[in-house]
Amino acid sequence: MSGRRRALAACLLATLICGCGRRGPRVEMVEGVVVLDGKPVEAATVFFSPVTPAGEAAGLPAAGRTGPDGSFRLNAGSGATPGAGTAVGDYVVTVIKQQSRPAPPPDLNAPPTALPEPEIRDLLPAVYKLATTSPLRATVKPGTNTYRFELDSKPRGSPKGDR
Amino acid sequence: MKRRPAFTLVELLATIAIIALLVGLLLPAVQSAREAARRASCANNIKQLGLAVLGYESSNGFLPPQGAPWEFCSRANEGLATLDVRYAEVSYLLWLMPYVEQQAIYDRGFAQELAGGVLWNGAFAEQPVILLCASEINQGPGFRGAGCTNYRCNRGDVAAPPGRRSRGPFNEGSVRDGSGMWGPAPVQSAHIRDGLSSTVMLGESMICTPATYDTLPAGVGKLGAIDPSTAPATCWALVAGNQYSVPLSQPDFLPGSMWGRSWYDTYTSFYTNAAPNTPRCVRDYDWAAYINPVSSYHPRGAMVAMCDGSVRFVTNEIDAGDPTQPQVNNAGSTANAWSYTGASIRGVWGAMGSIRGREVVGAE
Repeated sequence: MSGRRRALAACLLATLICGCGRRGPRVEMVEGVVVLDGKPVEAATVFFSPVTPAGEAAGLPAAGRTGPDGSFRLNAGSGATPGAGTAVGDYVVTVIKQQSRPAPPPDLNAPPTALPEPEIRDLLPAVYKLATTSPLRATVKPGTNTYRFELDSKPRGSPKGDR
Repeated sequence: MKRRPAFTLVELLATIAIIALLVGLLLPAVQSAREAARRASCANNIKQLGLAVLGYESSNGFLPPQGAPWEFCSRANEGLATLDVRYAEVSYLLWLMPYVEQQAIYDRGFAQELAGGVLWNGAFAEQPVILLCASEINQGPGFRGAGCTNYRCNRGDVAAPPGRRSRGPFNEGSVRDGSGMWGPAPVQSAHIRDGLSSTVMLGESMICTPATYDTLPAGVGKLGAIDPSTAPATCWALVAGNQYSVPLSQPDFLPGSMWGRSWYDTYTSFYTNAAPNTPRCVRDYDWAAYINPVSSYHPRGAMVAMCDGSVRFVTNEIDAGDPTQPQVNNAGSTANAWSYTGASIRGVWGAMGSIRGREVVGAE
């Protein structure tokens, strides 16, 4: 007699548990490697900025940071699980790696002028820095997406000087 | 032998199960009612502080200075001799104390400074209750025993180094008249050309602790090369890779150890360049927190006070532009990005943060 009742209770419980699931935008796993002249780039930040053609759904902006082997996993904000990737869509990819002089240790008794802004230096070619100049593109599809971004320290057709 | 009528074990268990089910259904509702009450108390605090800023403005003609050096403060207290300039700077909150019925803290703070006292003791170990949100988990004590704050001032939609004019209603290092001092003058309400009701004045922020900074929903990442052009999504990348690092040589200055943990100090501001409750990033120690959004333990957003004294709840989903874009200056370069003067690139949220970006903010 209790078999049917038990099954009913199990169904009820399952419904309750399913109702408590985490909500967030649907994302696809995106991972990849960044290399400069064939060598992996460590501690660079890879950005996926959505390109939205008219009448299509927008992707999610996302970013990832490369490890010692140049590999990264993409992380979209807006409630998505960290490191789980980003939404389906077309993206412009930018890569930034910067270095600064270490900030001085804080000195509470120094005059205000004693706190200089550190110099920030780009360690990758400037074309990869802004979405308006980056030649890198990616299309995220359902499933796991794997990319290899090959950067060139002397990109062909790159603008000379500041423009 | 006659058996007494009684419950069987199965019946008893069934009853307990039903009660457990009802409690399970009821408890979330009770919890959200409790959070709603905490949020209401929190909204009252930020409203009072917003009105205090307006009270200060009508007495003095400008908004309270943020991060003014102590030397300026001692001059402002008429008849007091000029002190040695210290790096330590004063939060906008100190000027508000007389306007939230805490004149004693204000007076004791200046007396203590004049006597050469240690800044983080005495008056500043006091915890004004109005500065704490009931939903906050880390309620102090703060940095070296100082009182904490959940309420910070808005420095605009573009990060600005100390001493540079910000795009928000509060300038870092601002002084009253700019004579012989190093910062820009404080903002007057006439400068807020985007409209008082559509410009953010104050906002909520979680209190960091060194022990919990990497477990907070809006964690603090340490970023070596951060400048005003750094794209907010750079922080997400740090958080995803779990790449926090701790400078052990200065255990007092762990990333996140200062922000919100010393209400009298200059670590009491935020930027609107990133959406609410997204990760924060600091340079070494706690300097240059150029990606420093509002945050709270309330579900789905954070509260802000507007420059007209009204209080709004801003959701995490507010349009904050594309966070993967770096800030550029008027010439399109990432150098000196703080000098940008155009319309905000950070969407509606950035437009609400700037005082004269000349953006149109729709009535919500």
